[in-house]
Amino acid sequence: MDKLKEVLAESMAGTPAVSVFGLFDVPESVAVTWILMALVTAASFILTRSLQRIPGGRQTLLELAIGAFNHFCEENLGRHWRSFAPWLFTVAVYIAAANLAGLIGLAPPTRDLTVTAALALMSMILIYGAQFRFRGFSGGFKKFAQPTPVLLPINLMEIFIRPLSLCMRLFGNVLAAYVIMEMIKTLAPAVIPIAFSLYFDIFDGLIQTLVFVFLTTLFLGESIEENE
Amino acid sequence: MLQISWSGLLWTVINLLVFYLLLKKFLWQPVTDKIESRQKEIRQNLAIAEEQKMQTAKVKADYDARLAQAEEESQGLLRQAENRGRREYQAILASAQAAAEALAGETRRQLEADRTAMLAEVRKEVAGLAMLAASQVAGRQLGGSDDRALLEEFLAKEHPAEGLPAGQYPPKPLPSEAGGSL
Repeated sequence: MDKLKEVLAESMAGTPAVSVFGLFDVPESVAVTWILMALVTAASFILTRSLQRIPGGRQTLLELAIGAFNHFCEENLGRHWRSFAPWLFTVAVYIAAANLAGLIGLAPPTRDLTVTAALALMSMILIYGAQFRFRGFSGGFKKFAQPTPVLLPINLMEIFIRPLSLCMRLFGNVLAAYVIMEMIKTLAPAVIPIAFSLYFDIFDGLIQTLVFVFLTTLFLGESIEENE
Repeated sequence: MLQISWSGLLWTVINLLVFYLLLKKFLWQPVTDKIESRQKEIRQNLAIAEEQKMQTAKVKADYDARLAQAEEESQGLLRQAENRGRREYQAILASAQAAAEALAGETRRQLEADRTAMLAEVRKEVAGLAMLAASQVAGRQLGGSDDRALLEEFLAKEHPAEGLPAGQYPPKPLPSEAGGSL
């Protein structure tokens, strides 16, 4: 029991700082993010190196994934989907890669509240930026009084509640999965963690990716939806 | 971990923006372009195929119509030719008939003329012979104009049924008959 407490305290302790060429320190999550960015970018290079007019197996999967994502964006965002799809796609790829980083022995960056806060902040800027961008200045303000002016305070509170919930949900899930996995590994070091890892690392990681991107897209679609 | 570090926040935002540019350039844009160019191509090809199908149908209808028209025309021509052939046949037949009739008439006339001429010749011959025979019988030369007149009178009396105009020898009596009757 003492050992479990120890593991719990350890896994919830602050992430260590990593020194970059001895020049300055960055949080561990930022360093892991760089590694993930490098890996994913390299993978995209390889995947899109020779796109054919008639796709082969790998290209078909790639097109299926991106095509489905674009379709999802188009359905929720209407005719402006093209402006947002690359960003939402980036967020989806980043969160998925971050949540799955544990599989290759890296500490998931999304375990760091700073990272999820940054993601949520960007979502907030995107949602309300788009609201003013596509509705104009006064139209953007009027949106807060819709559907009825009574909802004005709630709509204003949502500006902060939405990113906060996005941030906390992602962070909490990933951290909890990480802590639980650490404890399971302490109790049963072999074989058994695999089954739990499938759920906590892969399934939960992908579900949280979906939730984050889905909610951001829904909020965004709501803020730019056109009045008939 | 439970506190937010401002430098980490800034780093993460920068990372996200850089990652956005990288993924957009190297993954999202190329694949999306590929998908959309293919969609466009397919749409174009389908439109072209549709257009060609319609064109083919039009050409076929046109062709069918022309074929029907040509058939009708050929039927007309055939009927016309048949009619003309029949008319010409009738005309040729009629003209041939007329020509044959004309030829037959001509032949008949010719025959009549020949016969008449021959009869006149024969009568002259018979008259000569009769004169010769009579002179033999009479034992003297018949030569005077009165003798000839006598003879002709005789001959005319011998064959009154012929109804020949005066001065012409009757055609019937052959030299032997004439001789016999004498």
